Amino acid sequence: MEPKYTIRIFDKERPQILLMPVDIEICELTIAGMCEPSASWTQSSKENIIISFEEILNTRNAILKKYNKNKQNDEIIQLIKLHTQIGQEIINNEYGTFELPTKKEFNWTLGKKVKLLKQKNNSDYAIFIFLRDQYSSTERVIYSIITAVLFPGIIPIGGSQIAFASLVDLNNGEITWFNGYYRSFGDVRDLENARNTVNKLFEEFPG
Amino acid sequence: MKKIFLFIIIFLGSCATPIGGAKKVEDIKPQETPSIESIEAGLWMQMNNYEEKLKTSGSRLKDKDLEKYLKNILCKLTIEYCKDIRVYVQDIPYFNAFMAPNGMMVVWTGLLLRAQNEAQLAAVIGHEAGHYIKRHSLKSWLDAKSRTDLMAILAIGLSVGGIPGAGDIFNVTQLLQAGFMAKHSRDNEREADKVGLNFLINAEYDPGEAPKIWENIIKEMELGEANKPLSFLASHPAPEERIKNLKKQTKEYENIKNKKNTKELKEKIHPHLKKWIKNEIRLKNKPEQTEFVLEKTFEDKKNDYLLKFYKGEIYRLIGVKEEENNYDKAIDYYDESIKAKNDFPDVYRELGLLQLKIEKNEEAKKNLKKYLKLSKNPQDAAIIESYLN
Amino acid sequence: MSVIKKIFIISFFLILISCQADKTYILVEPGKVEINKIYSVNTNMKWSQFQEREYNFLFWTVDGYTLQRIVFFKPLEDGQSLFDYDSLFTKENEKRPTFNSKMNKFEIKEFFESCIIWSREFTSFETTDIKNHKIGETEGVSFDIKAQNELGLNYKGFAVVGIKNNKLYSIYFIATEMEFYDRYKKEAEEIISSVKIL
Repeated sequence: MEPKYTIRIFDKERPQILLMPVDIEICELTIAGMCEPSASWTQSSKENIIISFEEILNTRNAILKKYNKNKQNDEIIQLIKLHTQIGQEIINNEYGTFELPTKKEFNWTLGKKVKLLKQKNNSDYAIFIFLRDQYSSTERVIYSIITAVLFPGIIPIGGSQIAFASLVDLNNGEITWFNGYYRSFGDVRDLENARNTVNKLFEEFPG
Repeated sequence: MKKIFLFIIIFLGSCATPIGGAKKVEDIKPQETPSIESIEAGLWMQMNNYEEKLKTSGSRLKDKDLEKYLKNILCKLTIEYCKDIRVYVQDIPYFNAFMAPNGMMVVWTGLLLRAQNEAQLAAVIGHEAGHYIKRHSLKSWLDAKSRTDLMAILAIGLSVGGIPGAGDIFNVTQLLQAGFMAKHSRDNEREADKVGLNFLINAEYDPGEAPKIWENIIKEMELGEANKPLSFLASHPAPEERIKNLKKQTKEYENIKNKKNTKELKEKIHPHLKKWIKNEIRLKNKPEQTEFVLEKTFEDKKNDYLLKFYKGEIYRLIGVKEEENNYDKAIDYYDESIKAKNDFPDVYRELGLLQLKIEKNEEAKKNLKKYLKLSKNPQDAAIIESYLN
Repeated sequence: MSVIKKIFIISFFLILISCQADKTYILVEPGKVEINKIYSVNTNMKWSQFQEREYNFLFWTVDGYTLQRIVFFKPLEDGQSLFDYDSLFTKENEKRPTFNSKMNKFEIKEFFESCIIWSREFTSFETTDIKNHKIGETEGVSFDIKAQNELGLNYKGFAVVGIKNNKLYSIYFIATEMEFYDRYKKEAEEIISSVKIL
C-alpha cells in the first residue's frame, strides 16, 4: 500500500492538528486460538502511538491538539461517521480490486461542515487514526473481507490487521493525506517498535 | 508418558464441569472495576469500545425516555448496583436481552413488545443483572479458555448473520469470543434466576410474573416454525426446567399481593407500537405465531379494535400466496375491528383497498371515502382520490 | 461457526478472487444513456456504473456505493424479489418479500420498503410522502427515503416504482445526509424524472 496525498506541506506556519479519538484494539492470541483482548496492551499502544505521532508533528513544526468530546454535537458525530465511511470507500477504491473511473484522482472531501470541527476545537487540520492489531486466524481474515464486500459499510475488523490514518483540512473538508495497511505493520506495544510503526504509517505526511 | 499426559489434559478440558479458575470467581462488588492487567479488564475494554459505538449506532432506539424507564426499573431492583449498569435498547424485532461484563445491558424491542407488564420486564432485567453480579461472562470465558473449545462459546442463534443487526455490529467476532453473548451454562442460568427473583420480591413486584414471560415465549415458539428457536432461548438454555423451578420458588409468595404495573409500560412503548408490530408482521412467521404475540400485546379489551386490525394486516400481507383465502380472512378481521370501534381511519383504508382488489368496488369506494373523512388530510389523499375515480 | 459454513466462506472468497476480471466499473458519459435495454435516462455528469452478474440491479456512483448511488432494478415478475441472490448472511430465503402484479400503489411502496429492510443494508429504513408519479408513460408512485446504517450514519433519498405489463420497475437514489445528499440531489432528480421504460 502506498500513501495518497494532495499536499506536501502545510499551508501555514505551526498548524494545529486535531487528533481525533484513536480507534484501536490490541489482543493476544491464546493457545486455544481465542483472541483475548488486552486492556493494558491497548492502553500502552494508544499512548505509544500518540507519543510517536507527536514527535512526528514536532519535526514538522506542527502542534498536536486533543479532541474535546464535550464540544461535540449531533452534526459533528455525523461528520465523524461520514469520515469512517469515506475511509472505507477510499480503501476500496485506492487499495481494493475495483477502481471507480470517476475517482481516478485522489480527491475526497467531507464537505464544508468540517468548519464545525475547526471552530469547536480551534484547529486547522484533523487527523484520524484507526487500528486493529490482532494476530488472527485465516478464518477471521476471510470473514472480515467478505463482510466488506457484501456489506460495504463495515470496516473489516478482527481478521485483517488493518490500519489507516487520514488528514483532513478543516477549512474545506478535503482529505489531503491518507495511508492504510492491510497486513501487520509491527508491534505497537512498546515505544521503540511503536515509533517505527508510526513512522511507516505516516510516510509522506506533509511538512 | 507424554501421550497419557496430553490425553488427560484434553479429557479434563472437555469435561462438562468448568475448571481453570472459574470456581474462584467471586461476585462483583458494587462500583468495583477490574485492575488493568487482568483478563477481565480486557473484556471490559472491548465492551467499552462496543458500548461507545452502540451509543450512536443506527440500531439503537432513539428514545432516551424509554431507556431511562428501564434503568429506573433496574434501580428499583438493586439500588447497590444501580450506578454500575447502563441500559440500552436496540431496535431489533426479536425477544432478547443480554448483559455485558462491563455493566452494559441491552434489551431488544422484540422483548419490549412481548412484556405484558412491568413485573415481567423486571424479571428479565433482574435476571440479566444477576449475570453481571455473578460475573458469568468472565466465568464462561475462563471456562471456555480452559476447555480450549472455541465453538462452545460462539452463541447459537446469535451467530453472525442469523439475527438482523447482530451480524453487522463492528466487533461481533470479538464480542462472541468475549463470551458475553455466550450460551450461559445451566448453572449460571439458575443462579441468575435466583438473584433476579430475589430482586423482584424485594422490589415488591409480583414474582408469579417471572415464569409467565418464559411460558409465553415457549408457547410462541411452539406456534412457530419447528427448527427456529427464538434467539433468547438459544442463549438461555432449558427454559422448561427453569419455568418449573421458578414456579416452585414463587409458590410461597402466592398470596402476597404484589404489583404488576401495566400502565406505565404501555405508555412508554405506545409511540413505537405501530412500527414494532409492522416489523413483527413483516418477519412473516407463521400467522398463528404472530397472532399469539398480538393477542398478548392487546390483552386489554379496550384495544380489541387494534388487535383485529393488525390480525387483518397479517393476512393481507400474506396475500394470494397460499391456498387459503387470506384476503377473506383479512376482510373478516377488518370488519370485526370496525364493529369494535367504528372511527379508526386506518381500517377503512385497508378494507377499501383490499375490496378494490377483489372487485367489490361499491363497498370499496364507500370505505375509502369514509377513510378520507375520518383522517382529515392524510398524506396519501391524492392517491386514494385517484382510486375513487 | 460450523465447518460447513467455514468451507462455504472460504470457497466464496476464492470465487470472488477468481471472478475479479468480470466485475469492474465502467464509465458513463453525460448524455442519453441506455441501461441494459430496460431504461433510458439523461444525465449531465459522469458516473461509474457497476453491475454484479448475479444481482438484479445495477448502480451508478461517483464516490462509492455507500456514499451516494442511483440503483436501477431489473423488472420483476410475479413471485420475484428485489434481492434474489442468496446472501451468506440471510438464510431467510423463504421469507423474502415477493412481488405480485396485482399490487396497488401502496403495496408496491410497501414491497420496496420490505425488500430493503430484508436485505439488512440499513438498521432503519422509512418511506414517506407517497405521490403519484409517471415513469415515462407508466403509472407509478414516488416517495422519500430516510435511513440509517449500523454505523449510525444518516441517509436520505427518494424512489420511483411502477408496474408496466405486469412487471415492477424500481429506481432509487440514496446518499449520506451529511454532504452527499445535498450535492447530488438535483442531478438525481433530473436523472430520475428523465427515466423512460424501453
